[in-house]
Amino acid sequence: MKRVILPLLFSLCLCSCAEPTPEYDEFFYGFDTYISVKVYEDHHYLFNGFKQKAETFSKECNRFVESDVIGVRQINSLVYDDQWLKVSDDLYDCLKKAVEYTELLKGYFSIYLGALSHSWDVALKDGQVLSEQDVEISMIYGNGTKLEFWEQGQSVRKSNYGEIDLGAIAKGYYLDYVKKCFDVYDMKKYIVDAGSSSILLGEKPTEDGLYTIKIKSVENTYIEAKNTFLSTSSIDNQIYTVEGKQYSHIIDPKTGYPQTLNQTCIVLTDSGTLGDVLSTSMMLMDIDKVKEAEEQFNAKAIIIREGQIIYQNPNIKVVNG
Amino acid sequence: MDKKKLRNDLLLIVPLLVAAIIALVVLLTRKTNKPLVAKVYVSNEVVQTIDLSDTSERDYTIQGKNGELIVHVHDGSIKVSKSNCPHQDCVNQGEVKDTNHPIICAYNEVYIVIEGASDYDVEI
Repeated sequence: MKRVILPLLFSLCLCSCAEPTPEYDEFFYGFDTYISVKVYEDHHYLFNGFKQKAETFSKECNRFVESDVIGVRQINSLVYDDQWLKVSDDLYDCLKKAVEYTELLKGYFSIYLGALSHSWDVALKDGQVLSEQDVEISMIYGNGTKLEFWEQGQSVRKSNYGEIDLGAIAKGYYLDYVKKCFDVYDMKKYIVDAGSSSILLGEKPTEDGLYTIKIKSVENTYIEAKNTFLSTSSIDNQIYTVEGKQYSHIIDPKTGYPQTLNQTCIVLTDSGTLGDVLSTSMMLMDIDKVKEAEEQFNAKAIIIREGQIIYQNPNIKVVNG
Repeated sequence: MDKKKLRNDLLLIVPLLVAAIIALVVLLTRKTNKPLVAKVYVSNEVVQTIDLSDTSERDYTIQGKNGELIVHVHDGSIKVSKSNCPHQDCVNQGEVKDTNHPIICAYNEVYIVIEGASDYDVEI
């Protein structure tokens, strides 16, 4: 009997080595996009928490839509310099990190140019360009704005008329939360995709554990990676041409104009928040500055211009299809 | 060991092993023959399933959360040809033929994804 059963069992094992099926495979709405969560281990009770956190935190970070939570919209409405506003733990922590990165990456990243960003968005969609005067005034307001923090009261206050915009950091911060949850339960096999610009990779349940990520901006080119955050900024699908000049959606904090040096930046880091910030900032950096930022923040980057990779960190595995 | 017993064991084990190895090679190397299907979700509920093996040109009107979208299908590809959303990101995304590459209209909470086997896990 053993001689029949053992080979049968062995055969079954071989046949089961096909593409793994996730235990949990769902997506839900948040941060103006869909977040896809695939987990190859069973801890399904975590996942309602992910949905709820995405819903709440994305409302807090939304500076346009009125909602039932206190968030960036209310911070931007603060009129008096001495007015404190109590916010949630997450928003408080995210804002602190955002301000820290604005300082560390001065000239490449700023959370205070929300009003200018919105003005450009409206103008470019109408086929127009902001006047130099409008840009200058918005820059004065934005650069003169400061966020202050009161730890005990978990409160913030904003001075001046600039508007906070957490669009370049919120999804990454959310993914940091998701990673912490996975770590608490010692879960390793997952992939969380927050709209393709912010991705959390655990390990794929295959022998090498590597996920294959296709790079849209470069033909037939893929990254293989695991156990990392993968953040992407790109002007693909977000370019406006007005009077023969191209404009993107990323505002250069030095000039106030939405023109970037690079087409696409992909950053691998061990923090979603940092990854999001760096992928946006690196759109404005030359290669020397990119290498400096990699060193400073322990990150790895790929820089793409005109459909070609012009810089690739040697520790990123890139393959051609 | 009895030579006859050993021979009988091998006659049983070897064909099973060979069959299993062949099955494994086929499973690991095959390109999918499963017809691709596109699913259209509105607020996380499937509202339309589209068979992409049908290569005819056709349009589907989708009622999103805040308005209507026209989804155009042709020759195995799918795109949003018209939408009432303010940013038109879904329209600008263009044609999609691959799995793991969803079309998203955040304003209408519409998510369109082609399902099936793919050579990659995610596209950025």
